[in-house]
Amino acid sequence: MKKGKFFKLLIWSGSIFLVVIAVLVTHIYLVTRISKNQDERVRQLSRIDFKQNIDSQEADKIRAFVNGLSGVENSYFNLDNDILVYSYLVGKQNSFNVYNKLIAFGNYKAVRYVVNETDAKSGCPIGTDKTSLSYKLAAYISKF
Amino acid sequence: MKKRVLFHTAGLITASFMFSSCSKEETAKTVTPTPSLYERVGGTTMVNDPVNSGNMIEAGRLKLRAVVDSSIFVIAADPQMAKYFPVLFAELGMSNKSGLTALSKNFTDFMCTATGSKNSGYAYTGKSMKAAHDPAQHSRIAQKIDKADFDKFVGDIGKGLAQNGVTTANNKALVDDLVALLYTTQGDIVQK
Ligand code: HEM
Repeated sequence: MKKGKFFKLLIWSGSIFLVVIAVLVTHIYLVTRISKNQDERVRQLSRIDFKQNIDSQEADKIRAFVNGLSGVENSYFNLDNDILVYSYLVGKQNSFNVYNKLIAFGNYKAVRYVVNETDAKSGCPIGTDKTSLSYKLAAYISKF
Repeated sequence: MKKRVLFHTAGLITASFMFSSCSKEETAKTVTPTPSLYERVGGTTMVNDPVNSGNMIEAGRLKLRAVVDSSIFVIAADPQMAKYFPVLFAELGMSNKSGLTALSKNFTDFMCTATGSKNSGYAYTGKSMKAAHDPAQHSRIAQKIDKADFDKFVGDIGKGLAQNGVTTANNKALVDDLVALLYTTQGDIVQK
């Protein structure tokens, strides 16, 4: 191959590479940015699984307690499976605190629901392994 | 040579745009609109939005949003559903973004559009039902959905409806028609 052609090829592949990177960066930015729209405050769902039977009266007590915690917006109790789900504003409340307060309140036999590894892996590829390069890259880009 | 390279560049650029389109660009493939259904859940009458005080909202959308939000809780508390929603639950330390608000909005938009809302502000702009429920095209869903789980999901929405005062006891026709509407998506959503 002649020298001129080689450089041309180098420039072409270099620019193509840059374009691809630019598209990737834009994509990660758009997908992960936090909206400035007031209506899209960051809300999170969490779940607590009870290992004891909870009747509707007890469930009402639990919900009233959890709803009363600051930052908690709403809750629902599935009586068939003894599962509590609640939503809260991230930053104002977190699932550890809600769980600890609830146990202190009623001494329930219950566990905080955590997504298991296999399920988590099958979801978004950049949400799970915090040591991976793609996670760090995505986290960096989404800072802007 | 030059032409060939140019051609390939164009191709690559196009391809990279195509691969980057997993967020929003796909157009909605909606189910047959049934205008009367939107009217029957409240229609276009403007009312105060109890959640965003000072804002007005169509009564139909308000009702559908309430049903969607209730249903999301029922589904989240349903152990049979959990395997599909790891992303919604996993606390994405990354940017503290939870998809809950987006899911609520998109699902509400979908219901508005599907029931026949003509308000362009409520138009569904998310993925097609096929793409939204295909793990290969939507990273927020963990696996393909089977028929039994589809049925359970619709049952959970039934509970969400009941929490908002619409039951088979007091309005069987409306429940039946909404359930029938949900079932029009079955062919696209059940992929297993
Ligand atoms: C009954 C009819 C159904 C309708 C109308 C429906 C509608 C929707 C819509 C509009 C979205 C948002 C798509 C987007 O943001 O672009 C969505 C997402 C999703 N759907 Fe469905 N869906 C249905 C059934 C199901 C079933 C049966 C399952 C599983 C059991 C399911 C699991 C999911 C999951 C996991 C997501 C992603 C949630 C997230 O954002 O974290 N859907 N669906």
